[in-house]
Amino acid sequence: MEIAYFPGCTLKTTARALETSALAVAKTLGIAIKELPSWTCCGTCYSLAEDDLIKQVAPIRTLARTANLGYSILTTLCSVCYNTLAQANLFVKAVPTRLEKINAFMEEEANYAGNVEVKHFLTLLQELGAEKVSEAVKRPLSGLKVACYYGCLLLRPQNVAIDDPEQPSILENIMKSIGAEPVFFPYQVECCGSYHTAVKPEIVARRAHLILENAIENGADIVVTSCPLCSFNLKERQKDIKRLYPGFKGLPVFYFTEVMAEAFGITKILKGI
Amino acid sequence: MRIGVFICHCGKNIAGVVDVKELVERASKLKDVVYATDYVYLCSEPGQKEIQEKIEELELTHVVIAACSPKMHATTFARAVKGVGLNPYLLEIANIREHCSWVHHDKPEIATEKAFRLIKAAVAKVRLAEPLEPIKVPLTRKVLVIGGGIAGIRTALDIANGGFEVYLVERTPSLGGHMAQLSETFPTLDCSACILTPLMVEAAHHKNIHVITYAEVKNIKGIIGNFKVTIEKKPRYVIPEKCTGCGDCMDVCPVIVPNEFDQGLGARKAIYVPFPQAVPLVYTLDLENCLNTQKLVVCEQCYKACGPRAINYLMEPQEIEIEVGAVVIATGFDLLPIENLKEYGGGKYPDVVTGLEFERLLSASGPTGGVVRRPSDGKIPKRVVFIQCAGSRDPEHGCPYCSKICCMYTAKQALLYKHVVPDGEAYVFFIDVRAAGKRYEEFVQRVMGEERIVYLRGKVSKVFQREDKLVVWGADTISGMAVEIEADMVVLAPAVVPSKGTADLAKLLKVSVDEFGFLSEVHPKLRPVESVSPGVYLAGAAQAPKDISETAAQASAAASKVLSLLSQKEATLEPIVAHVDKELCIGCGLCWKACPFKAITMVREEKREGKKRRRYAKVEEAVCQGCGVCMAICEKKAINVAGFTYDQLSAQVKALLEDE
Amino acid sequence: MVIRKPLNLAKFKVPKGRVIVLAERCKECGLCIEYCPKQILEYSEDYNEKGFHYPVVKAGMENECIFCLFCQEICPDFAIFSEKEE
Repeated sequence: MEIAYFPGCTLKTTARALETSALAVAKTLGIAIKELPSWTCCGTCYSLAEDDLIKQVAPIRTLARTANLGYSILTTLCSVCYNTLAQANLFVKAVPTRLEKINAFMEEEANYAGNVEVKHFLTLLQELGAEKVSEAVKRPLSGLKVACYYGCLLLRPQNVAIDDPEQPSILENIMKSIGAEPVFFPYQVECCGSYHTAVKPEIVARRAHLILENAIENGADIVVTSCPLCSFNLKERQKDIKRLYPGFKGLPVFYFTEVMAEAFGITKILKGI
Repeated sequence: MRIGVFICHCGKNIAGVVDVKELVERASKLKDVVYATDYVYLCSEPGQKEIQEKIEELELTHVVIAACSPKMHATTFARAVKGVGLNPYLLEIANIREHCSWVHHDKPEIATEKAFRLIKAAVAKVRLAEPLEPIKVPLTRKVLVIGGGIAGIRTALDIANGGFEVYLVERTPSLGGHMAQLSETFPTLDCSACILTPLMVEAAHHKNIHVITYAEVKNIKGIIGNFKVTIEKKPRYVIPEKCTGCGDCMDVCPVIVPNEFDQGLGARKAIYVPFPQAVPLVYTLDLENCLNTQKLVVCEQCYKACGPRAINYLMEPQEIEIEVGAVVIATGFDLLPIENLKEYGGGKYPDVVTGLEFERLLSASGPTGGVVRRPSDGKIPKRVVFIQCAGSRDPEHGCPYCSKICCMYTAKQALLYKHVVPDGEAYVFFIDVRAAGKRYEEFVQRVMGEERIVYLRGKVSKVFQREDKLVVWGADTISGMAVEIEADMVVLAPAVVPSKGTADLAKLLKVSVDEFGFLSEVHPKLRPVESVSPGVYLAGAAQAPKDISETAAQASAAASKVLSLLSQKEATLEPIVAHVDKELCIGCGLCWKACPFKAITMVREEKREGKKRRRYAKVEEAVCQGCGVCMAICEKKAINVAGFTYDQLSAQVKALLEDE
Repeated sequence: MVIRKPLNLAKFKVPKGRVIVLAERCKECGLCIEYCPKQILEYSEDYNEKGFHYPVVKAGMENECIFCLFCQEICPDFAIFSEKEE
């Protein structure tokens, strides 16, 4: 069954590496995903306002288009897109009048009936099963100690979380199935500083420093992440960290799909592995 | 027929919305109504006197009172009319407050019209009312108390002292419950076992109390005054009459397993008593862990070592049947499993313990002899963090309520810790400190002030391990700072939940539970020890989280309800029960299948001359609860609930719908 | 999942036994090895005159015998027993 794929803005710009490696991994594993033909912004962040029906138009439009093309599952790679789309989906399905109002507003789109399920790429991999993933491994990454960093939006709130918010294991299981050795570090679900990176990068530098130092303390060789914002904060801000904390030695940060692509033998470019 | 209509103002509650004078005028014009009046507060003494005087003066035969909900004053008004000789079932109450003035307070004209229709309907119904007499059932003067903790023991003692026989059934091998596990109780710091064991012994030796331990209630049938209870005694494999409690068997037993009484922090043998002061002091063989399970060969060490030859490996579960007149449920509480508290590392790090586990460490008869040690390496912790509200007041964990006891026992545990480790540091993270009992607040102030225990107002977000310390991240909202503490041990105060099996027991006894599993009382303020099922009473933490003083109070309250029941000659039941018209009944059996209380049986009538022996339904009046399901399902209108017959109900509906 | 380890194990005395094997009688039926609740027995590398591998206590587990006497009771040839150690 073909699954619709929603990239989102960052995947086409700063996080291009995530998309290319993810698509290659999907192809190797036989997961049929196809990019939606004309997609628009996902809505960026789930609105917490009381009267926020208008903010749901952006994600619901995406879901309406997905349903109209005949897909029943929509997948995405960006944590923010996943969180926004999944929460919006549940929000309008909970009370039918909300969906009616949005459908009436979006006259030029087909009506959305609430029949699309939003699944993150990690969930698709989990459903595929560790065995299938292991079968595709050509270069097992034995001896590589991987710290899996989750960030926040994949695991909260409870109704859209892809795993347990306190002790998740979905990334660890994937790393294990490609031969790497996941290490537990307590800061794996702590916030990276998120959008503070735009205005107050020192806050992000401080948070990222804590997270990366904790990963090093627990014996990690690399950090894998799944969210483009986390990756930016943990990777690109390392120069800020080195400036503020001169003793910091740095730690390679990769997208989990990049590491998987290495293990499948598709690429052989990553340093530090 | 002479009907009197009394309309209550209820102060401004009704009169502020509804035009009561108009109601009086219109009501007096109804057929068969000889008198209609209004009054400010009918439930008051002058109000009731007014009703009584008018009944006598005008020789009223039926009465309609238009006032608040029958839930409020049905008994009050029934007593008033009975006082002047009128059968209380010839009284009908029209609810023009909760059903009218309170919900339509912004539409007075429509409210008045609706109130009139409600009165008209009540008049229509009462025209067809029949006088009814309460049903009397014989009372068995014995009581079953389920649960052998402090609640069960206190209830049993009070009832037994009143002269009635009590069966005290406890699931574990010994009486005592959670109170026996405690080290000291707040706020007096009495040694818990010292104040409990005299009561346990008194209960065991009381001539009116039969203590049945290591047993469970399997089935209960019947109603108030006549319960038939089946109790299953689990096999101890030790003959209680012969066992002297010497412990020779325990010495030679080769199997060591964790002890449930010590919450796993202590050990016991496969043949054991849960704690040294157990009542009754009889050993129990835990067959699941004994080497004798499913083996061809038998380990007979305990049998050989036992002097009085008290061990019998071939014991079977024994079922006993008893008849009692009342049941008291005192099954107590459990704590939320620590594995649910993942954010605090519960279930992951050995040094994160619950309040009950810490209590065992503090207890002088505990696994460490009263020395507080870390479960991981046995070292004495020098810095302990206590986290209150772990799971309580938290909808995400399914426990939005306050567990009531944790603030006090955390303060007590912090104080006791400081007493045994004088150079230790204790920190308590709290949201509020709830110290509402007698001398509780003074106790907490002493803990905060004199004992130099640091109280930080804020929640803990995360606990994780770094080397051999536990790092606690919390907030101190009073100073506005984030706090990081490297602790040696973390003690959680998990939410209080009803003990396992309470929900099944409730179903057996037809007692309702709330959404958290606590047993429901009839009225939380005024009737906290009675359940919705007549003859079944509640005591202790099974009804809601509470501490020992409140439990003892509630246990005595339940005992007093039982005593007042048993001191009567018979039990009285409401006559709102179903009756079958044999002429109309065709014996189809639909009502028999539908009755949720199994109150209906199908019987064959006596042989009649020339006629076929018919089958018809028969209602057991004492079991029927008057729910009316049989009425709804009967196609022949052959079965009617007294006081709510078809004719009465259809008269009401007609009166509501027709225009004047 | 943390399974609580009891802290007061030192207080509990378990009977101690010493396993004695009469190797020549053994016929390698394996019942004693299977029924030992502490699993302290295993087949020896060596064999007796009849050609059978007889039971020996596993290396390092000499103090683990709890004197339950299962091996003694189950052996059809009276080839193994345990002596109580005080």
